[in-house]
Amino acid sequence: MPHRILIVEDNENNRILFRDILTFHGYEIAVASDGMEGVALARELLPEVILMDIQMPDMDGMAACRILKGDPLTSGVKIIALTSFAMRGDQETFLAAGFDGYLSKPIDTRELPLIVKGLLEQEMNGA
Amino acid sequence: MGIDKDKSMSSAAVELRRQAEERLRVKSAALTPIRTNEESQILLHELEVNQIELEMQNEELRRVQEDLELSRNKYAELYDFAPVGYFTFDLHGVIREVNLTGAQLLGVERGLLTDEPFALFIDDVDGKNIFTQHLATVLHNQGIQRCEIRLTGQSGAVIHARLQSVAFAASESKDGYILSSIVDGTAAKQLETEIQDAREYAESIIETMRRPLVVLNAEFQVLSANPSFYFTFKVTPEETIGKNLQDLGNRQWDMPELRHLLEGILQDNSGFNSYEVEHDFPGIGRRIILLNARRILRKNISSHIILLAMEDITTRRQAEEALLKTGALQSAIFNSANFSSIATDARGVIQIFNVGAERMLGYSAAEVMNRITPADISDPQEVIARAEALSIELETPIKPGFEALVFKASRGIEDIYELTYIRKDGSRFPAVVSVTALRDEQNTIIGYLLIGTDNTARKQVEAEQRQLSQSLRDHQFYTRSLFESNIDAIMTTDPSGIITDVNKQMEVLTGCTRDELIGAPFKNYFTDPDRAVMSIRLALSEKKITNYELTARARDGKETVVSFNATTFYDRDRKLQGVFAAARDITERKSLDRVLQEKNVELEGARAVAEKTNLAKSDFLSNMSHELRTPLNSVIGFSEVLQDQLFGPINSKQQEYLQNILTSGKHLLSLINDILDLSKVESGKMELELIDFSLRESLDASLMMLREKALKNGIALKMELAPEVDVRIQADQRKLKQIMFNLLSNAVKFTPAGGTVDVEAVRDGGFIQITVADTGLGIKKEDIPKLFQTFTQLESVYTKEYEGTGLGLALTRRLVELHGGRIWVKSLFGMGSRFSFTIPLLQSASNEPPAIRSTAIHGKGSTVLLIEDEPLTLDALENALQCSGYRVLRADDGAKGFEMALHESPDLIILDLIMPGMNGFDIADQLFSANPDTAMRILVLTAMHLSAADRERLAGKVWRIAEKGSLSTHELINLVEDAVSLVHGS
Repeated sequence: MPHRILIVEDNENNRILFRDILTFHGYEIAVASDGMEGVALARELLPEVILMDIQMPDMDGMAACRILKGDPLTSGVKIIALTSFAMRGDQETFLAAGFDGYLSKPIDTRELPLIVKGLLEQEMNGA
Repeated sequence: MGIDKDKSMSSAAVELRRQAEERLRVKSAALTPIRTNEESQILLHELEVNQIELEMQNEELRRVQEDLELSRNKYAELYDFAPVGYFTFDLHGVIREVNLTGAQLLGVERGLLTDEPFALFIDDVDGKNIFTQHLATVLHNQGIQRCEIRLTGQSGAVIHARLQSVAFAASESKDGYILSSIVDGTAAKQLETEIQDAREYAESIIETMRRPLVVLNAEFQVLSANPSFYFTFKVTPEETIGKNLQDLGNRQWDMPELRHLLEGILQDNSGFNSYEVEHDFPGIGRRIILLNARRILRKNISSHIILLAMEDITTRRQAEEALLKTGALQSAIFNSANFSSIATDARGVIQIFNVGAERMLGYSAAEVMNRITPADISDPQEVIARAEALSIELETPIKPGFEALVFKASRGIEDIYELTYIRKDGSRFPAVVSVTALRDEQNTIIGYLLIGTDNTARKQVEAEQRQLSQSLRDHQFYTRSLFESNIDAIMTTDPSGIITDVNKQMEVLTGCTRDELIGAPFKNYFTDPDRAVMSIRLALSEKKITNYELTARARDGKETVVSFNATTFYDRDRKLQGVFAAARDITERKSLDRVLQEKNVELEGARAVAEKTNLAKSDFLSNMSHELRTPLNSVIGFSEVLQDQLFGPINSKQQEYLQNILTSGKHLLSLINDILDLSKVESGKMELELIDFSLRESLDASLMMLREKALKNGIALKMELAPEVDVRIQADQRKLKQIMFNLLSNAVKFTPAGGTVDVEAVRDGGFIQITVADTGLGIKKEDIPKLFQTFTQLESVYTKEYEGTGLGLALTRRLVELHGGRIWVKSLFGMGSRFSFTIPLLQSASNEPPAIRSTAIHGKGSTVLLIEDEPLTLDALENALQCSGYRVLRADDGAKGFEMALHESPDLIILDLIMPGMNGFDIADQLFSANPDTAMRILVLTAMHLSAADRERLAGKVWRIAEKGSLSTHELINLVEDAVSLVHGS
């Protein structure tokens, strides 16, 4: 059974880009366009990995991550922050919010599948 | 018991009698009737013999009976007068029999005790229970049982009775009974209590003793110690009790000699006193401890104990030593031949007359001691005058004579005065005399000590000086006319700012008369007195001031803005006299200035608006960049996916176009990133993330990023790191990498194949200087100033070939300056470029906003050579100069400095004059003959007061002479800046 990945990203083009790349690499992909929808989908589908944009209208990635990590149902899901303003110190902020890692935009399309793969392996080994 | 024995004794006698009678009867029964006389005779004889035998037996019996009686009495005596009370109880504790001692114990007549319950004499319930219990125990157990009961005798006395009882079972003839012996244990009990009390008392003494004390057993283990011990030696009871003395607290008591002494105590001595130990005790330092020990004997040597009392006499000893020193000092002073020390008794009669006094006054001690008072060797007129003056001052009549000399001292007032002493030969000399009253322990004056010094020399000097001043004043008289005829207001002040002279114009300016002005503080006549004081100080430190503005306020309130020029002036001996100041009315010019200033304020406002706009621009750029990056993300991402042909093949034309999209997209992205970074720097949002890292590793990593590209372009990329910079530094590593990346990628970009790019790093004081040198195109001289500005890419011809954002070097400069370093370039067009930058090894705690720091840089990379042998001055100067952006070279001796001055061609040389070996004068001389151009870059900075000859020697060979300490750091930097701009201008 393929691994399930949820992409939460408000920019439609980026959403399609990430979806297509990861679909190509054999993952089962679900997408959400804002934090609220992302949280609802995460609870419904219980994906293994969530790629979470930080800057989104209404509920941003930080808030969504806090909710998911605070919910015993979804607290085990690996959540990766996608951010376009990676500065030093941000990393700490993200980790403090509960993210398991972060990727700086522009996302390297060749790196993205590798990172997801690594994360899943890490989870399998860890669990 | 006695009765028993008695009975058995009497039955033995009866038996004896019965046996005798039996024998008699047998004998008489054997007798046949008497037949003959002879037979009768024999019979009679036999009878007689029997008779005698019987009597003898009787006698024996009587003796036995007597013996018996005697022992009976003896026994009764024993029983009654034994020191132990004997009681016979029935099984219920009722007294059946008691001996005398027992009765006495209870204080009751013996006869009255029989048939009384013993419990009658036990007062408390507990005791009664104990007795009952005791009886039961006795009855049910074999052998002797013991107990203790408190009895109350007839007289009410309390007896601590110790009972030992044994039971006898009932027999046919007798009921069972209990025999008890009772001892009065009161005395023993009391003793015990006393011992206990004594022990507690002793312990409390030990506890509360203010000096440390330990109790040791014969193995020198600590049995107990008092709080003072713990406090003094900073140990806890856990670390002490049960430990061997030698093992205490890091073996601080491990002293062989002490052990020897203690062993001696156990063997023969009862103790020792005042054994002094000087020892470095861990935790409390070096201490002198006085030890007293006492042995307390026990039954055998192994249970002896030792009391070891200690006293920390460190401070006392120090005090003693200090006292000893003071004593030595006093005697040294007293024996000094340079002071006359005269001690008198309370009436003033001289008692001690030291060698100094003998030498100064010409009397021998014997001639004056017990004969005269110090008043007799003083000028009588002065003594009288002094008495009068004191009488007035202290409002009490004081007699001329010795009293006048010591009156103040006798009242406890410190008294030092000048007096003329008269020598034995009648000659006189001025003396300064200090008088001290000598007091005994009750504070009663027992005498006086007069210590005097010969003041002749000083007096002479003063007189000479007076004369010189007079001639100077004479001279000044001639300058008076010059003074008065000047159109400026002129005045002189002494160094403290007190007006010493004024001209007419000054009177007009202040509205005061000359007499009012002279002697008054200069500052009083100005609206801002502090600023006025400052002008004098400045004039004193700078030797002259020009155009110093002050507002004078006249008596009528009229204010005049004046501009001062002032210089210091000297007497003939070049001794500073004060400040000569000339003030010009500049009220008119001032009003022009005000207009100008208003214009400036306007301009300043305009500048602020511009700055604000610039800030807004930065914010806008920052926001825009975010917005721009998101779609770019898609452009680049999709292009990559297509290029990777994830979803099917594309043809070569499509590939080519795709590559164009990607390249353009990435260029746009780097442009946006640079703008974003720049805007962050400019808006002050960029902060340093300081970490500690290895410079070599960081530079290696930077080179690694460009290695591939260099290889591809056929460029040799090398790094050379001086050993002294192979260190860890504190900086923002990411930004340093960014700086290096920008410089290296420029170098690689602009260097043709076959060229080289070299990275060098050297130490420069507190900075690391890193240079990226290439053999590329080089930069035209006129382009260099534009190089580090935003959006500058030199000449459009490069642009097509060498694509770049034009922001890289501007950003690089900002990043370097953010670290407090600076960046510069040396380039020859067509030959290559050397980009160098410095960053500090360590960052200071406060990071100033970069915008301010970048404008604060004066040095712009000029080199200053410091020749100075005093390390602290060297450090201070170096620090000040580096902070202002100068490159600093240090030479800590003259010879080294001279070499560096010749070979390093510094922009400025700061030169100390007094140095061992080659001094500053020599350097100036030799440098002038070797290279006059370099010598003229010397700023002499000296603490030495230069004579005219000194100045003459330096004149024309150095640029300027400044006094060390008279310049503030800021002033020094300004001076250096002047010097450097002069050098560059020429």
